Amino acid sequence: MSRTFAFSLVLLLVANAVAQKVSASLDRSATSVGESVNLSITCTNFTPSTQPILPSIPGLRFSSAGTSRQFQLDNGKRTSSYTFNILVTPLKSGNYTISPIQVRHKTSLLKPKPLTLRVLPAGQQPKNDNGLLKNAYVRLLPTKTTAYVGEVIPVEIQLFFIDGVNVQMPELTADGFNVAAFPKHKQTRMQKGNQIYQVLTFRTAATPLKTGELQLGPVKQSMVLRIRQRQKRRSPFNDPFDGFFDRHQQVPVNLEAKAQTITVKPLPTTDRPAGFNGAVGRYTMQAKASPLEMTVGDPITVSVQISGQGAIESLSLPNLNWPGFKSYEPSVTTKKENPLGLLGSRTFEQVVIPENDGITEVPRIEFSFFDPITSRYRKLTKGPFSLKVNAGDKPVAPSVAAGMAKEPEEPETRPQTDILPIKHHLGSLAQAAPLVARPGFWLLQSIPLLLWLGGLAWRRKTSALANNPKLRRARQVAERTRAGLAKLDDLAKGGEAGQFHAELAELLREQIGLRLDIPAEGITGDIVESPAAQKQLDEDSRNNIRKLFTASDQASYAGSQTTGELKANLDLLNEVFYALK
Amino acid sequence: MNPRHRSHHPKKRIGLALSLLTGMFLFAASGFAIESQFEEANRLYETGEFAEAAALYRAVTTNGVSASLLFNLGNAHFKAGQLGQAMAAYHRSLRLEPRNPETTANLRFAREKASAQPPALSVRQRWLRRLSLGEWTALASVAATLMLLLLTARQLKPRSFEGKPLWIQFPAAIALATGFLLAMAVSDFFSDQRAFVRIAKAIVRNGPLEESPESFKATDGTELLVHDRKGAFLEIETGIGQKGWIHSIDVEPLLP
Repeated sequence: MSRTFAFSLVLLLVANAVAQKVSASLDRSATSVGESVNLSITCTNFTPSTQPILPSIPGLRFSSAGTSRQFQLDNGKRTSSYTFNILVTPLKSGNYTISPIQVRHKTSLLKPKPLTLRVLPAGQQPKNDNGLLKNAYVRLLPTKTTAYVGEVIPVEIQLFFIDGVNVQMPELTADGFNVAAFPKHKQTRMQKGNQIYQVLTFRTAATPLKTGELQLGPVKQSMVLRIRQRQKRRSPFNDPFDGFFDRHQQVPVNLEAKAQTITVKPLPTTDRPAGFNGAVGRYTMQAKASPLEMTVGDPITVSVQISGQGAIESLSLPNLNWPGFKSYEPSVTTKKENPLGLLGSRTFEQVVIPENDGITEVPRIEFSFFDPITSRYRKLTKGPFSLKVNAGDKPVAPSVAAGMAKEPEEPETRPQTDILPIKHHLGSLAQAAPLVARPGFWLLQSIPLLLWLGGLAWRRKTSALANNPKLRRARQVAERTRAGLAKLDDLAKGGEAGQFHAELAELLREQIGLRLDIPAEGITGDIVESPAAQKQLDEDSRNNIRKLFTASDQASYAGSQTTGELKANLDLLNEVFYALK
Repeated sequence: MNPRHRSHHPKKRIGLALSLLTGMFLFAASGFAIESQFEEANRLYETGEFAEAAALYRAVTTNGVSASLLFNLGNAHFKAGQLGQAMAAYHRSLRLEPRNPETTANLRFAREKASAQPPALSVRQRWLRRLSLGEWTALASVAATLMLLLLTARQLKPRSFEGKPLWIQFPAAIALATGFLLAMAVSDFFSDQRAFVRIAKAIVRNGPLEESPESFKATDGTELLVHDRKGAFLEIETGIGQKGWIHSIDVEPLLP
């Protein structure tokens, strides 16, 4: 165990040592006099002991713009990078080769590839800043442009970008193809010209479904680029920290790679084997049957494994419906050996039952496929397998294959020989839509819910009333006033002055008590002189109240009044009530 | 009372009564018509005209379905040699009456005749399908109604429920449980995308196009799981894991 660990450690150290390297890049390959470009010198998996040694080139001035350090962990592999950022300011126009750049690591000097820089006269801008200097592009790379229908074509989509975030999955247009889902992509780095690109590689498989000239693509991919902003011309008025801090602009881009034409040929019709069922690829076959000695009615399991390269998941079993055997549907297991499922094996296990003891062999198993490399059909065969079937009294049961999902069943004593007869009662017809999908059901179901909500509201209202004496009094007074006014109307019509004024005074006391929040008992016309009444009631109301109490007092002594007078008092009372509210 | 209103009331009442009577008459007449269609289909079946009987049973299903009607439809298709359509009808009948022993027996018999392995059911599916969706709905509905009525009673007579928290908690737990089971049953019911091959040999292709190469042939009565649809083609999987695309006219879907 410890030896293995030590060996792994050594391997890791060796791998790390091998991975130590230096690369250099310019943020663009053309500029004009006075406009700085950024030179990045990246040391991978080591930290240099000194500053890099730069060449002395007349016409170019180098100045340090700081360093940065980065760590990356990918599939357990740690990568570190130490980057020197150097501003290169051209002083004269012309074509320059920046070489040699040297970085000291322990006792050795590491040198990145030479870089080229084109410098235009001051004020001129490079006409074409694209080409290799593009910040990002996408490539569509099918492994072949000619294929047979049904043949799997591995396809690679490569996304190159210098710096960016939020990379979306590529969208591949592939009419006439069956395209597999994209497994996880791989990430690498690649230098092109002066630039170091991050490369994301997406792999998939496209299977042509029809013949002809088919278009695979275009591929569309979107991401957000981080573009380093150009260094302004140096001047004493510029920000002195320009170049010491990264200045990035985030630009969303939609990248597209052109469609590729794939010529899809039909499968040849000549020499096509009889049992061919559409398999295209390169396969081998293993087959076995067991047991090879049994009694009539006992099952034999025939196992067929087809391995190789192609559309493994769409392989189907050759026909095993042999005469003299009862066959059941096979069970299938698929084992993929790569994420796209282009390599692997598919195993079929089929149960067959010999129906008589005259059978001496399990017949030969044949599997045919079309090999696109040799452009020929191939037939694989296994067997026949010798078989010894003993006679027995066991009947061959017409049961469904083992492993089948059981439905709830009634126990049966005798094997069924025909379907059970029809029914003569139609039963109650219902809508085809289930109850739960009908609006009427939910309408009905909402009744108890509404009852509960109603109960809840009633309960809350009752509780609110019980806990609020002022509100309760207001309601009682309102009720009393409503009844009292009706009674007063009747008393006025009847000319019963005594009762009328007694009732009027009672109602007036209740209303004033409620308004001033004092007990109603004992309220007289003098109440209008109290500070509370002075504060809360206007003068007209106070005068009217006094008039009503006075009229009431007078009536109790003077006796009868006319109906008109009583009506006038009632109107005045209504006026007072209105004012009090 | 407004005399004009009074004079209109008897006419209104007569109109309402006539409408009701007409409605009842039409309802009864349609009921008789359906019954007589059903009996005619039964007669055709018994005289050996199975395809005609199946067509008539199918016509009755446009007015509504019952387990017996779908059972007879399955029988007519079976006798007419249409295994896939028979199995689809038996399955639909079992969705209404999942524990009907006669339908189960006939489905099993048809399945044996088709020699096809059905797609495997999970334990959850088998358990949920012991009751029909209507039964699950009724259970959940009764439990929810009981709980809501008790909640209403508690609002109206809170003192009766004092010191008896179980009177609410127990029905609430039952209502929640049956509601959850109903949700599962509904999900299972509507996600059951099974179909049955309805022709003797249906070609299953590698892709959803007529030009796509043939992958394998599925025989009448083969039960399929439908995963996707593109145009006229369905992406299917057989009970043994074979996948491919089949033309939709070659199959009878379980959900119409």
